[in-house]
Amino acid sequence: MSFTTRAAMLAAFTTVALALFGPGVFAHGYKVGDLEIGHPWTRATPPSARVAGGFLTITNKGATEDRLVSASFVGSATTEVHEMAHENGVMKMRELPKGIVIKAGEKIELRPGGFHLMFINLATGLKQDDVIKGVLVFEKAGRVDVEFKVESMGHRPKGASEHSH
Amino acid sequence: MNALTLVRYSAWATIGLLTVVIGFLLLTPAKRSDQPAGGRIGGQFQIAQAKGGILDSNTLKGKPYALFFGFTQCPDICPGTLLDFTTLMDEVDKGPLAAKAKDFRMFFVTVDPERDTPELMVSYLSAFDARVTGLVPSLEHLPVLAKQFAAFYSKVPTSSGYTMNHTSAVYLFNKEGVFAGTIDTHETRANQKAKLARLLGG
Repeated sequence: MSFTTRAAMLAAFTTVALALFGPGVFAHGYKVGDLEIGHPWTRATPPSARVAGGFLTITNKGATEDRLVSASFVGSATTEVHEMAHENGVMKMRELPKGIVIKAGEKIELRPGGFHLMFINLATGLKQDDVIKGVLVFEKAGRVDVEFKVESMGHRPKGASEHSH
Repeated sequence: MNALTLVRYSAWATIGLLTVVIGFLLLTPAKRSDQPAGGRIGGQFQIAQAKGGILDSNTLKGKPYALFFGFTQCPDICPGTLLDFTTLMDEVDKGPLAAKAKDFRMFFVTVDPERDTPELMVSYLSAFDARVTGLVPSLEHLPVLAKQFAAFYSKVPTSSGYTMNHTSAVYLFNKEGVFAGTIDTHETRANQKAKLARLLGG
């Protein structure tokens, strides 16, 4: 194998590795029990906005399922677990009072258009680049302190589909 | 048959023929090329503006406009759609349709007038393009308006209060005030821009 071929392969490998584990995934994450929490984030809000969505990924590395039961956010009076779905031209919202199940080996994503945390009655507006503390509570893994990074108002996670399904 | 009978028969025949023709014209729905399939969407309306005063659709004659049903306690699609519009208008302002875009309006109609007070709407919308105008219909007017625009909304209870389901599309109206299709936030930016450009150019 020539040097150029090896260099090209290394470049290709690096590109793939960067694409797979790009910044954001390594940027900030947490471990609690068998769960890995990836990049909790929210969005900057328009003035007077009373709500914001909270987004993150949860990977269950364990052999049994767990459940995101509840969450809290320093910036809001209440936090609920919600799901939104775009059906027949209507944006539908619902609370998930039992939370979200993460099956063994599964990775779920809380993202715009799908599962999300609903921060309700914000004390103040959220400003881009602020970092705001919160807590996630899981049925088995227990509590974990996290920080939500405030992204821009229109931020969408990289690689996320525009569609909710 | 004398001449008088002939005249009488002709008169009756004429009346009969006219009855059939007029009946046919009255019973057949008028086909107008400017109407969308499935009936008329939009039309005349008067809705209170968040910044004060009443928006009367009669004042929009000659100007195309967009209209969107949403609410401020919306985690994604409402700020997302308003931001999409803001970005689109920024791009249009740099292009050949800039002059026509000056008078363009996007109306953001709240489906949650109980919580979306005029003051809150004005403050919220200050984050977006100045051509977005907040409209706050009364609770009584809202169902009438939704029917007029074939829009859907409903209150969804949650443990701390409620949230809203609502039609996500942005309605477009041409300069005659006739429904001219929709823009959806799930479409590509290029698609949205093409639709807006067609509306402005038309």
